[in-house]
Formats: sequence, C-alpha cells, structure tokens
Amino acid sequence: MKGIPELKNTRKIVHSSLKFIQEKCSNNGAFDALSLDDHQYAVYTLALSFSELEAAKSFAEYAKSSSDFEKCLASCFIAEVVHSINTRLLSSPKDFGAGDWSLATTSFVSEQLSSDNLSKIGKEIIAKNGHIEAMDLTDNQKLIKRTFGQFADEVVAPIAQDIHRFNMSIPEKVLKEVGGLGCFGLSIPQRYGGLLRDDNEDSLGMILVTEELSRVSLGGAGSLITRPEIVARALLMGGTEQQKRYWLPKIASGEKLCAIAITEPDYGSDVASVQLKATPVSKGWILNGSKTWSTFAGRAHVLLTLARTESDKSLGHKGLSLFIVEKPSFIDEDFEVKQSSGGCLSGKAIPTVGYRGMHSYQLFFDDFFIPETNIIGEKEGAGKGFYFTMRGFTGGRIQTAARACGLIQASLNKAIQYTKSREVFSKPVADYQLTQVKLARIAIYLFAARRFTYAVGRLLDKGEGQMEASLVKLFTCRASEWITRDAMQMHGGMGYAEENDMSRYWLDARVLSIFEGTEETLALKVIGRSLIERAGSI
Amino acid sequence: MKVLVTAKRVVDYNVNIRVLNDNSGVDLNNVKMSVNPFDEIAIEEAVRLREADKVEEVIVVSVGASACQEQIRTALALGADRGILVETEEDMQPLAVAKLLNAIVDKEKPELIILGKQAIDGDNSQTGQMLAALAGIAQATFASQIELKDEVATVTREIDGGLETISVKLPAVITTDLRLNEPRYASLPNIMKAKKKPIDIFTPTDLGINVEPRVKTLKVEPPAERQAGIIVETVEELVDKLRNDVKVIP
Repeated sequence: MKGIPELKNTRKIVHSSLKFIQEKCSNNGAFDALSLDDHQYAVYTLALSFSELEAAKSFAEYAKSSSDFEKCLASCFIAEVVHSINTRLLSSPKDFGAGDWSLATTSFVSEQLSSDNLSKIGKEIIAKNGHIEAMDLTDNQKLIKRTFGQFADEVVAPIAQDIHRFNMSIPEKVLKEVGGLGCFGLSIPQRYGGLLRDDNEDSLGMILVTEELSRVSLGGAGSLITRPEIVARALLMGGTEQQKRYWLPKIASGEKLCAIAITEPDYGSDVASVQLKATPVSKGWILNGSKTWSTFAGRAHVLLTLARTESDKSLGHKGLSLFIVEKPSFIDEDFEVKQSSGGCLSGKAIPTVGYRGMHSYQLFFDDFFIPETNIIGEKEGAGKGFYFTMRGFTGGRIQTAARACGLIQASLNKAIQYTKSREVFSKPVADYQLTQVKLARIAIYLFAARRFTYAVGRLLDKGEGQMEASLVKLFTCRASEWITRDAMQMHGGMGYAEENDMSRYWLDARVLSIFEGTEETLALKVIGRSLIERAGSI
Repeated sequence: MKVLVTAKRVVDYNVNIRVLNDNSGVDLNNVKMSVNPFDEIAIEEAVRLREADKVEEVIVVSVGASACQEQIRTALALGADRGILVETEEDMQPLAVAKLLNAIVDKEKPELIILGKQAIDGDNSQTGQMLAALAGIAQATFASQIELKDEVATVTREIDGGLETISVKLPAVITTDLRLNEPRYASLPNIMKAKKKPIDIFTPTDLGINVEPRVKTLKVEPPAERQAGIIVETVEELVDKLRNDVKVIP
C-alpha cells in the first residue's frame, strides 16, 4: 500500500505551496503571523488539503494489513485525495505558487476513479449492507462497539426521531441507562472512579461508544459524553487533587451532568477575548455577564465556565480562569436560579434546526456567587483557564470526529436499505450504476474517516496529536455534510420527509463543522498557521 | 452449585449472509461475529441464578478457533466467572461438540448445564440433547422458565401445543428458548473487569476426543430467490392454480 508515487507527489505539491505562503508572510526573514490574513483562501485550502493527506496516510497504513476489499477502498480514497488536491493547488499559481504539473500524473487516478471500479465497490458495499467489521480492534473494543451498537438500536433508535421532531429533552431513562453502562467515566482514570487505567490512556473506548450512539442520534445520545469528556480533561490538567477527588467520581457516575459555558454573544472562536467578569469577594467570586450556545445547560448540574478574573484587559487570554458553577438540573427550556445573596443565573434555550435533545442555552449571570473552591486549580489556576479549556477542547474535537463517523455510517446504512427496496423504472435504485458509484464514494470516505479517527485517538493516547485532533475534526465533519446530502438525495422525496430519519441526519451533520471549533477557525488559526510556521521543516 | 454455559461464535444476526463464489461456505471476511443469541440467553439465566444466590460459579465454554475467545470475553463481561476454550480448527458438528462438552462436564462436575436450544448458523438443535444422553443425565429443552429448588429444576418448556412444565433432577441439561429472559447489556466497567477473568484453553486431544467430522459438506448454496406472487380473484381460481400450476394439491 505504501509508496504510491502519486501520493508522494501530491505531498510535494502541498509542501511547496506551504513554503510559498511562508515566504510571502516573511518579514526580513522572520515569520509574520498577522500577514496570514492576507492569504486566507490559500491557508484554508491548504489546511483542508493537508487533512485529506493525513487521512490518506492513516488509511494506507491500516490497509497494509487489512482485507483485499479494504485495500481497494484505500487505493480509491488515495486517488480521490490526490486528484482533488492537485486540481485545487495547481489551478491558481498566484495563490499556491507555481506547482509542478508534471507531478500530477493520472493513470493511477483514472483507473481508481473510473465508474467501473467505483460501481464494483458500490455493489460489494450494498451486498455487505454497509457493515464492515474493523480488523484492528481488540476483543474488548469489539465488545464495546457491539454492546453500544445494540443499546443504540434497541433503546435510543426507537425514540430518536421523536426527540428531533418534537424538540424533546432526552428522556431520563436514556440518561440513566447511559450512565449505568459507565459511559460518563470513559475519560476519567480509575482512581477517580472512572474507567481509564491509571497507567495508560485509551481513547478508543470513548470513540467507539460515541460512534455507535451518534449512529442513531447525535442529539439524543451521541453527544452525551462530550461534555464530561471536556470537563474531565480540564479538571485533570488544572484541578487540585481535592477538586479531582470531589468532582471526577460524581461526573463518572452520572450523578453530576455537565455543560460547558465558554462562548459569548460577542466572542465565539476568539476564546482569548472572553468577557464574562469574575470579581473577587469574600470567600469567592461573583460572576456578571452572559454566555451562549451552552448545550445541555438546563439539565446540567455543573457548568464549566470561563471568566475573566483579571481586570487588566491587556493580559488577554492570561486573564482568564475556569469555574465550576453548580446549579440544579432543569428539564425546561427556561430556567432561573436565585441565590439568597441576591445573585441570579438564568438560561433560555435557543431554537435550532437540528442537533436536538440537549438544547443549547443562552445564560445570564447576575452577581452570581461562586465559592473560591470552585475555581479550577484554586489559587494556582487563576489566569490559566484558557489553557485548561484548550486541553478540554482537544478531547471534544476527537469526539466530534467520532460523532461524524457515526452519522456517516447511519447515512450509508439508510441509503443502502432504501435503494435496495425502492424500485424506479422496474428495478431497485441500488441496481443502477449511479447509485453504486455514490454509495461507493460514501463508503470510501466512511472508512477513511474512521481510520483517521482511530489513528488520531491512538496518537492522543501517547500524549501527541493536538493538531491532528483538529485535522480529523475538519476532515470528518466536512465529509459528513456531502455524504448526508447524497444519502438524502438517494431517498428522493422520502429523504426530505420529517418522519424519515434521513432528513434528521442531514440537519444534524450541519452542526458538526460549526461547533467544537468552527471549520474556519480550525483551518486558519490552528492548522494553517502551524503548518506554515513549520513549512520549512516538514 | 456450579453452572456451565456455552457461547458459540456465530455470524451476527444483522449480517447479510453471503455464499462464497466457489460454494464452499459463507463469506466471513470483515464480518461481524457474535455470541449465538440463544447462548446469550443461557448466560443471562446463569448470571441471574448466581445473583439470586442459587449458584456459586458460572463457567462459560466455547468450542472452535482461537477467535472464540472474543465470545468467551463477551460472556465474562455479561457476568460469567471464568472461561474454557476448546481450541480446534476442525469443522465442528453437534456430536463432536457434545462429546467435548461431556469431557468438560466430567472435569468440572457442574450441577446444571444451560445451552442455547440451537445456534443461529446451523440451526441443528442437537447439541444439548446429545450432551444429556452422553452424560447420562436429565434434559429439559426449549425452556421459557426455570426454577431451582432442592436439587430439582422445574422447567416450563415451549412445545408445539403450548407450554409444558416438567421437573428434572440435577444434574441436568437445559436448553433455552427465546422467552426465557432478555439478556442485559454489558456495562463498560464489567467489560474492563472481564479482561482479568481467566480463560483455560484445551485441545480436543487434551480431552481425548476425536472430533473428525461425520458429515461432509458438499456444497453451500443461497436460498432460491423468491419469485413475484400473483393476486387471484376467486377461491376457485386459487384452487385451480394450486392444483394445476404449482401442483401442491391433488
């Protein structure tokens, strides 16, 4: 599998473009990050291209020891990546530098991307009903996948469409069962009541559970463990031993449900500019200001809240601290918590087109008192809230990639099921070439997305992969959009019907590139910037 | 009291079964494998008996390739205490499996053996009955309810005419029907704990059993595809079609 010359050539094309931009952004030999904004289109495109290259790399690596069919999927994916990156980067020398067209050879590409090859893959994936058991999972991991797959199909799937259509809050029964099965403790070490072995990390369990739950419902189950994941990561990095011992077991058991309050009406991606004001008072702090897009804030008992503890605004992200705000759990779309000291916290759910079940809230803090023990890291943690938040977000990003994989698998299954049973001009839609080609492309991207997600999960377990977590989120979430669109298209009118799960997948996929770091912020600020900075050395 | 249960490795019930091009068998490449659902019911029943303090230990046995450890781990995660794998690459048929299980029964001396009434791959429904005969103990097949009291198992059986309740003296073999219970989901902590539970591995030779297949598979074919039906207007027409076209009535 390794050593496909076309892939190497495309890597060269990407690298020469990165150097081209680096030179343009250099001032007297020094890299000037500010001038990157003059090349946003190129940086964005390069970040996307690089995410595809990395996906191809992990797929090729896996395919070396996989079945023939998976090898076939991997080759096809590599051809697709090579072709689309070459076309993008070689088309505009002004933006990407004068690339070497001679590197863009096409015989491999045209063989792989022919309708003959694609429809052959399509037929096979239809015959397999979209099910391909991964070959590199341990027995335990397979068991986790199977158990949660079954749980998702039997317990969550029957209510998933109603949660969406009637904008219901996730039923208590689902929360209890998900908690009872141990899901909230996936990223919490055993010594704090969770499931992680104390001597090593294992992201794959969390990825598999998320993938299976998201396959039936993104809002109704698949996103439940994102919040405890983020809170746990932040606490593990910044919390005092006492805080860890107090909070983590409660989060792991599901006794305390979590939400995250970082984004503000005026500051979203620009986390460093957060304004919610924390003023020191006797034995604690009072919070004033507002937060928005705080998903699950109603049901949550704990809001991980980022606030400005330093009045000196020039401190920027170094003036931020992270608080654990406690509140009662509410099922309603509006809530209000009044303190005897006169403080108040109120919340109001924002209606959304999809991703329903958890509700996303606008929050208002009015002289809301927080005891001094609830600032993460206590005295040591003051001013470090930004870093703890970022650690939490890395966990959120890999999780979101897993959510995207689940949604893609759901769309593939649904499209296969429908096109097999629906006849058009007296034969099943699945028997037509165009359907087979479309299903093949979905399958190819599904397996690429999944391989990439597992690979980054393993990298994070080794303490690496901060940027890769952003790359995999970017790649999988974008893929989920055209895939849910194509799968919906194959359903014709039925795909647009509210009663059909397919319409929900399509709506839900849209949120993936928006939350947990928007596509643009990840591409421009996290990935693009870092790629260009180190362009000389890769 | 000890209970022995089985966990056969079968193609998952959700998988679209495909016959290999050379008709030698079914395609197992990248295919999801599971514990035979009837065996899962057997495991659940045994675990419930232990939770009710009627049983001290639940031992799970699987027969087949090394990959069957995956199914044993599943049973351990569902609550069984330890596992035994009889490892063989041979094509296993009911009599050979029953003989191997009998050898394990000899070793372990369980008072109760619970098996699925059949496996969803071969649908033979023979192993439990053969085992009871080989071991010379009682059998109660197709159970939908089991009660244990004073060395006697009272078992409600699902039979063609309805339900039949019988009492059998222990030790006995019981095979499970669908309605006996609803198996639980393995929780993540239990999946983690299962990693540490022991699995003993034997070969048929260790147990002194010859497992050579008695039946040779000549060819595996998919079921014929169903032809489209027709709608008949009258009963007379129906009778006429049945008699003259399909020739199923004289």
